[in-house]
Amino acid sequence: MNPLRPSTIQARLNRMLIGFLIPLALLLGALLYMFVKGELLDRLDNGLEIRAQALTGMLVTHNGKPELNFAGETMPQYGAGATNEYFQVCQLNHNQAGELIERSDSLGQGSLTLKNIPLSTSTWLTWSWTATLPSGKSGRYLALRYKPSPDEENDGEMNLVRTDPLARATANAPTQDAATTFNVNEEFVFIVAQSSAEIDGALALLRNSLVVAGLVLIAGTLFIVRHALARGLAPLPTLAADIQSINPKNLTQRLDETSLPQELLPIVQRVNQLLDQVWSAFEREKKIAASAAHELRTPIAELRAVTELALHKERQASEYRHALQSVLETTLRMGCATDAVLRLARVQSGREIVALESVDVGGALMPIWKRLIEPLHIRNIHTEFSIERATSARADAAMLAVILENLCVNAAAHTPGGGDVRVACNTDHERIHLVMSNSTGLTQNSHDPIKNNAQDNFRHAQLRAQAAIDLPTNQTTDQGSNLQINLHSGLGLLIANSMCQAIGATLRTAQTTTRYTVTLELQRA
Amino acid sequence: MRILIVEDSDKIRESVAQALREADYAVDAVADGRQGFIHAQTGDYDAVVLDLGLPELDGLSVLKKLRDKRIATPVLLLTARDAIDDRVLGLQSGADDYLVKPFALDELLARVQALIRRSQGKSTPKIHVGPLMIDQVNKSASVRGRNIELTPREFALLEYLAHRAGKPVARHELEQHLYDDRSQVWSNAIDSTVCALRAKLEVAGCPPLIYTRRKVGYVLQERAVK
Repeated sequence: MNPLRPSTIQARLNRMLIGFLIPLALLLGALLYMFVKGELLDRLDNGLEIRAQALTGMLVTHNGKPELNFAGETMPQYGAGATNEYFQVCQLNHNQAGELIERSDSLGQGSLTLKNIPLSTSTWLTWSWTATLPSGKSGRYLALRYKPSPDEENDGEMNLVRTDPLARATANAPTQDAATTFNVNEEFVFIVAQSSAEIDGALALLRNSLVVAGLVLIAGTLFIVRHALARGLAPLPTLAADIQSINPKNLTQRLDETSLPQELLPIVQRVNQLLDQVWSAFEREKKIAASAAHELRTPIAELRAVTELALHKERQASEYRHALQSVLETTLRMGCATDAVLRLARVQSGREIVALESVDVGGALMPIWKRLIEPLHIRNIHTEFSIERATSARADAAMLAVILENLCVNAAAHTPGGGDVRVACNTDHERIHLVMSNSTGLTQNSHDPIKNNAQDNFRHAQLRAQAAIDLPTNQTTDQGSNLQINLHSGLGLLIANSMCQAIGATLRTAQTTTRYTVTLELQRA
Repeated sequence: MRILIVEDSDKIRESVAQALREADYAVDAVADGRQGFIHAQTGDYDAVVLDLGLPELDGLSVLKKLRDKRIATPVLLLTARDAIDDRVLGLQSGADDYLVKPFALDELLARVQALIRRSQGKSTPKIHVGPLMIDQVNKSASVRGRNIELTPREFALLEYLAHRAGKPVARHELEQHLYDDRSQVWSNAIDSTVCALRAKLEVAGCPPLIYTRRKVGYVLQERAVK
């Protein structure tokens, strides 16, 4: 795998499946196999034990010597030539070596090797093991160590009574057989063996079946997972293609949110939200660039017109002086506007920190308002100005001055003649609310075709509500103003908006048919 | 010729107005769209120089309202927006020409002259009435190649009559188009100017061209129609 290329979900899932599924399958298969094998061997051992116990019932003494009263014709499986079942009876001597008493005909001259004789004080004890039979087949051996129990009622001679091992639970009532008496120290080992070929075959079948089943399971799982994953991940390539097709020229394109898996829906919704934000930012950037170009062209046009007029023909010195003064005013105004924009750019880029201080809002507003009063009255616009005392806000003084200038100039510019402009400033516990409202000139029942033109004013008001950058404004004269930032409302509003954000203030607009209101909220100092 | 300027920038408005006056136009200048609409609607202007970005009523709205009222005065739009869409919108709204700021004053003057010329159905800046030739670009008149010294007012009157050659022009119409709001017009100013024109044309060897229509006005044509 190319280390530089990230792995796919499918590859990771496959590795995970293989890494867990195979060991799990092996483990389960092994456990099942061992369980079944154990069960089968237990059953085989149980059968062998029963046979061994049956043989103990056949043990008798004859002439003081133990003999096995074995009727071979009733147990043909032990007959000569048989290769599946064997038995052997031995008498243990004091050193635990066995003396053969009887063995099955199937053994012929061979014998069954006794293994792992455990020490025991019990009446009998069985143990089993797997070994090769004399026939060469794999077989199961079971040894039963049998110690006949003494007859407690006969104290003189120890008549050992064969205790029926099948009735060992009732050993308190041994069955006494007068013809069968054993030495109290005698122990016998009955070994029975049987071919385990059937079990081995079954186990082999089980083993093979488990292997096949495991392989099928793993392969099937991988196959199903792969296809399920492919189907589940099917929307992703389409989604990726859709996202890739989005570029700055078609930012209005959005990702389809219908028919998506639930897991992808939040991602797609979030991407669409981000695209909305990016589109808004792009639109703002375009508007900013267009507005800046538009707004800066006007003062340049002023400079050009004044200069060309002055140079058009020979003029008086006073005319040249007037022209130069006009050029100077425009140049200074452009300089202030440029400074404002540059400062804003520095603040927004983090290269300059805005230092907030206590600023008298009324004190900052009053000189601006005074300059606008006369032009407003000339246009027969009624004015109301109301400011509470103690209106100090936390703000940057220069930025606040720019904001107030722009808001006041815009309010004045967009009030039709005969209308009114109201400025009020009130405070609450934490905020200062500066409210500027102007009449739109629009009335509900106006039949005046001129007044109906206020529809356009209202449209302007709506655009202003969006902090639009396209609105025109009157460039009021500002002789004597130190600010000289009478920007046309587009760029001016933009700068005012941005500066509000920089000083932690908010600008809200509201409109009705008859009035347009701008509210500047400042933090109280 | 009388021109209306609607421009909210004081400096641009005053500069353009002065340039047009120095080019012997009568000029009225207003600073907002509302006033501009009123003036254009009520006045009889030969051309309107209209800024788009205006307070109270934007230039495009002024233009649309004028055209809705069938006022066909030629309009030259002034704007800082040079995007194709903006130009197309302005022209489709009824403007006759479009000038992007910043502009050269000479270009504005030339475009205004062209607008007026086209509005009068003239394709060239030179108007010929009999032996009389009026050069609108050079603001000069000549008879059979011989220049005639005319005052700006005399030339303006002659030019106005030449644009409407063969059609009687009322005295008050001449007053409206030759004087702006700043001018104080004497009651016999037009008559005096016409009289002076006739004299100068006669001296230049030009046959009578300016005729009086009683109770109608004056007409410039090659021979009188009885």
